[in-house]
Amino acid sequence: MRTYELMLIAEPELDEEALAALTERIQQVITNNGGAIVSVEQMGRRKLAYPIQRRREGHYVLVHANLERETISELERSLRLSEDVFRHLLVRLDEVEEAEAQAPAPETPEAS
Amino acid sequence: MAESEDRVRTERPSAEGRGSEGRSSERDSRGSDGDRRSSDGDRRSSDGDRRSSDGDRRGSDGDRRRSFRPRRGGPRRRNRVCQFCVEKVKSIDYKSASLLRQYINERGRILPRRRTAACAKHQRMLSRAIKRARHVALLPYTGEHVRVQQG
Repeated sequence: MRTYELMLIAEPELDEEALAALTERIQQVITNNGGAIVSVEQMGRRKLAYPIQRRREGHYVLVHANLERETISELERSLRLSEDVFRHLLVRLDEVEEAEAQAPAPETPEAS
Repeated sequence: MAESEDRVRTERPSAEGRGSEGRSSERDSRGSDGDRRSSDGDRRSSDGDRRSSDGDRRGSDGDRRRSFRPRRGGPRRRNRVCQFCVEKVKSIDYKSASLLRQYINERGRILPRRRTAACAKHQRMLSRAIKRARHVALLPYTGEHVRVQQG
């Protein structure tokens, strides 16, 4: 079980209701496949740095979750299938936390 | 600082005085200024050895940008410190687009290490973060003008 960060970009036409439904669906996929949501943040509607298939804006959603390997493949699959999500990025988050967890204990001789 | 200016006026030609002043202000931006100034007061000789010989003084302005230019006065590397290391950066977040924007040029390309002055580790983090940011359209892959021309 590792912590991951999922950023997804959804269709700009979605209204708030549809967006809420979408994030709810994503959360369902995660929890139904043995994952656990840590946090969900709506980053709002933002302008894209470059157009993606004629779209110039998108709704950004940021999800932190603890996922198993099998959960990831299922999540990725459903994200690719989702027509509302046109771009997503799933990255591991705990690389940083592990490094920070090791850092505060410099007394041990094996550090560095 | 007043002391060193004084010394310059009495012992050295003024041109050289200007040179060293310009240099110390340039160092300011990189944050290792403190060393420089104290070595001016010639206590810390090791520091002085590394940095303050002639060739360094000339051309120290331009070679931030044009480090390939042959240096007069022999081969000399100013030792520059990775700013990410100075700030003890453990990771670079792909979401901090405004930070990452400083490390791409106007065509959207990642700046080389000679421009970012980052160490290998932090340059890797940086380039990875920039690439992730591009994927989620927080940063451009190309400059706007390049895209407009090609359609």
